[in-house]
Amino acid sequence: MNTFEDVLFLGLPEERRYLRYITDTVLATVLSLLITGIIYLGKLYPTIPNISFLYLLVVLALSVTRGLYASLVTSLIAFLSFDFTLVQPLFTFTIAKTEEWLALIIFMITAIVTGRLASGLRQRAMQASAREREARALYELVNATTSEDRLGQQLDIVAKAIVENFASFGVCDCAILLPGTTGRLALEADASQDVSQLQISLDEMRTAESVMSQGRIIDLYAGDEAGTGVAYYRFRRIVDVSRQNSQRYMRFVPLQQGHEVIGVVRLVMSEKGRRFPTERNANMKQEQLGHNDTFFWTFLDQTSGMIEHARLQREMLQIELLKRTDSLRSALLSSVSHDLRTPLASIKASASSLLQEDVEWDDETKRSFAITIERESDRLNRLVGNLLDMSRIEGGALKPEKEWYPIDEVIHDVVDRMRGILQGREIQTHLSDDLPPVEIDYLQMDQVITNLLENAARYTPIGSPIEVSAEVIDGEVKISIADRGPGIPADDLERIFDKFYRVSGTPRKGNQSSTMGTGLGLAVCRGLVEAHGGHIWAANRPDGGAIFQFTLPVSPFHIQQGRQATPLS
Amino acid sequence: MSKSGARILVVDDEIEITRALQRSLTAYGYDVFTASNGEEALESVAQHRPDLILLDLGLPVLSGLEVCKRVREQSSTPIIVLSVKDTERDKVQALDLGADDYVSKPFGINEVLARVRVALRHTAQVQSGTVPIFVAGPLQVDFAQRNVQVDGKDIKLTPTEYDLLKALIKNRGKIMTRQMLLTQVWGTGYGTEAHYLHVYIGQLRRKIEPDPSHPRFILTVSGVGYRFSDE
Repeated sequence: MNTFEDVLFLGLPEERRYLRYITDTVLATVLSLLITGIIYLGKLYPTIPNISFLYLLVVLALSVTRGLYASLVTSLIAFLSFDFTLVQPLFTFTIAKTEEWLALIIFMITAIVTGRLASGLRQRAMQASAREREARALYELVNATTSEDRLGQQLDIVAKAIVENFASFGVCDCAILLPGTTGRLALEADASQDVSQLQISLDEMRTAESVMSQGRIIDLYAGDEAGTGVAYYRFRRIVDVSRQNSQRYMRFVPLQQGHEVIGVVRLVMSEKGRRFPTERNANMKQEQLGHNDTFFWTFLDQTSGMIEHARLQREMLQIELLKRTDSLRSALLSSVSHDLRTPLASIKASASSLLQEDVEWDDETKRSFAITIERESDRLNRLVGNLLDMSRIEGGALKPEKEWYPIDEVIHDVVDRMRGILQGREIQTHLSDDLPPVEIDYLQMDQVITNLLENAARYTPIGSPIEVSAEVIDGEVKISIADRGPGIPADDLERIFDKFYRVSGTPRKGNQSSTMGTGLGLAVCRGLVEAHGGHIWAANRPDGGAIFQFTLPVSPFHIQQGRQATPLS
Repeated sequence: MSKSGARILVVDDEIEITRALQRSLTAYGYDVFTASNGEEALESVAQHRPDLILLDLGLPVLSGLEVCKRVREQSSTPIIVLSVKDTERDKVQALDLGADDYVSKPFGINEVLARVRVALRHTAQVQSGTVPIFVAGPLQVDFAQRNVQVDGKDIKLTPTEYDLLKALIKNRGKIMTRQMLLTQVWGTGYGTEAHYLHVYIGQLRRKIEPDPSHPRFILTVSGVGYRFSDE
């Protein structure tokens, strides 16, 4: 709606009304007198009887650019000056002829009509550009927020946009509060400063919480005493200098999604923003809201939408995670069940065969059954060990109890113990002389080397050699276990260290049973080695076979000392 | 080889294990008693005075460790501990409380039998008095003269190495935890410097073992300590 003043003064900023009266009056007077002067000096009247239409031009021009007031004043001054200087009797204010009066009246009417038209047009033009600006602002908001992944960033953009777009309504700053996982509100975004550095006072928090529960706009004023006023400014790091003297207050606006309040927007308003934004509720019809209010609420709706979207995404991810964990768990269970039951099956088969009453087994066969039972029991035992280790590694309960040991001792120990499995093979050990003692959990390192040797034995042809070496490289002890088997497919070099991963399609030679082990062995190795601060990796040897290597950190002192005696001897 | 008549007490709350052990040990000529909890075990020790105790740590009510401690307070009967617990700390704890040896479950019967044999043999030797000259294969140690020979050749050991060897031989057949060795050889102040021990063991092995990388005498007990074997 155009107010009368909008018509009087087009495009008028609010404070300058008095100034405008003056400038327009001056302008109107000057221009009118100018025209009068031209006519008088050029002696154009009554040579050209319609010359007074020149004034019409000025009236039109001023009505379109300056508003109705200017054009009315021009009409009046034009009429009076024309009458005074050009109409008989000269230099008097008499209006003898009717056509003079007519001219005046027509001027006036022209002025009024064009004034209103011009102002109306201008108003519409301004509205159109305002709408365009708003649409653009909303578009940019949507664009900017959809290109950001994280809700925090999105809210920052929104907060800044609110301040930018609504500054003319008195919004100085904007912050957004959202309920956290506990339901309590927390500051999520702010337009002018980093969230982490902004604090919110208890009063503000309580107000925000009321808004959350009631869904209404609530204002919070800083105290009247200078003291509280200062405190209020203290936790704002940026203060709008130009408005330092105006009284500010905070307005808490609810963010709504349907009927539910999902957050609170805290606006810092300057004095004049008193009525913005107006309350809205479900009963209000669209038309009752002022246009700017609608724009504001659209902004907020966009924000609510974003928050809701983020929340839904989070939930979706959770569900996805649960599903994956579930399927992983059932894969795990079925794999473990298979691998536990396989050796048990052999044991049961052998034992129950021995118990057959109607068969007389010869000693050789009986012994063979017994050997199977013993061997499969060992295998089951190792598997259980790996499972326990794995669950400890996963549960973070793995704490190596470290002591200093010479690493060759562990290696020899394991090699000796695995004599049975490594039967028929040549085991070459290359342990360099300057190996320093390393700080390790003996049993865990034992497990690592056991698993690696077992792997080497399982996946290589019987009788093929296995080399175990240990040396010092770059301040670390590096242990390698190399075989002459078929090697590992390049794609699998990393994946074999995953839980339950088994290289598919490895040719199985000789009498090795199929798919031995759960695929946990290497995963356990990695967990244990890394718990010691080392690294483990696999590679293929240039002349055939695979090599597994892992490092253990050594303290520099021991590198120099090697095996040299300590001060006690 | 049987030690007829030697009395062995088997303590385990698992019937199957007790039964299996009893059967095998009896077949080898031992006299076997059983107990299924700590109270029964202590009663049996008082009543039957066994020559050796096979003790499970995972007993209900009165723990195996507690039984071990109490038995050790009264006598030096060799105790071999059987247990599922696989962390270093539990084994060390049992050994520090007086157990002589440790067998992990699941075990093979032959392993148990071997340990029983060794323990009984050493008890007999201790009872018959400390031998001034110790011989085992190529190794000969004369405690009176502080002289060590391998294959007839004199071996020079540093004082620490000698003390270490002596401690090992004196407790042969038994597991010596790192703590025990450190205390016996270096005194009580050096409990935490375990790496000294490993260094010296290494040096000792290089001097007296026929094949230092496959030790015959000084055996490592995984993660717990060492044992001197004269088999």
